[in-house]
Amino acid sequence: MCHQAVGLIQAEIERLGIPTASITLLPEVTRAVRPPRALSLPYPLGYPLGAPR
Amino acid sequence: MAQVSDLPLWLRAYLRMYRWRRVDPVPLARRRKPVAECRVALATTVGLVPPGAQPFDETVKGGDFSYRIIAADADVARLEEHHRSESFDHAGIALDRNLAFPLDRLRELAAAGEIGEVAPRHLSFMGSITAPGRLSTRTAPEAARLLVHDSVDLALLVPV
Repeated sequence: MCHQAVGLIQAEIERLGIPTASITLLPEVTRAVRPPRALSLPYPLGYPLGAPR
Repeated sequence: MAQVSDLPLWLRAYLRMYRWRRVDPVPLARRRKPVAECRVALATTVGLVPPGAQPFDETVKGGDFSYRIIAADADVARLEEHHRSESFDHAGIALDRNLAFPLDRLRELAAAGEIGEVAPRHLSFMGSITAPGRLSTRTAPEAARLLVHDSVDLALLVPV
């Protein structure tokens, strides 16, 4: 659900002229939602930017 | 890489019937200046709340579609996580909020000259929203206008 929410928020930001990019951990979901831009990362859910410091 | 097939059985069963909301077509915005001169904002859906702010409400049917504003000078370690979903491991975020809200990393990029500056305000949503209509029509557009008001040049969004 987070990926859907991100896509919908992202679209509204982009619609107002601000370029956006989002991270996705679930490309299957992101392909269905179709946000303006997304970068797929190979991390598990809960760790969208990798390991904690 | 995570896959839908990795999700818990109860969630896979739910998603089998779920119809994802497809984004209405939107023209791609163009960057107007080099990244090294851009003001950058973050948006996360991990449900972070500044200390003392209203937590996200788990009782809202269809998911709490509100958002919280996180100031550029926030202490990232003190932000509280209020994501209601049990579909992901919360342990990493508990150790380091930057996993889903990389404000400390953004500050480092600004200090290194990789980006122009950190935006004054950032957005936090709680992404477990099964009925996203009010998010799409009310709070997401409102939050986007806030970034326009702050003259943001780029936005990075991170789900969890």
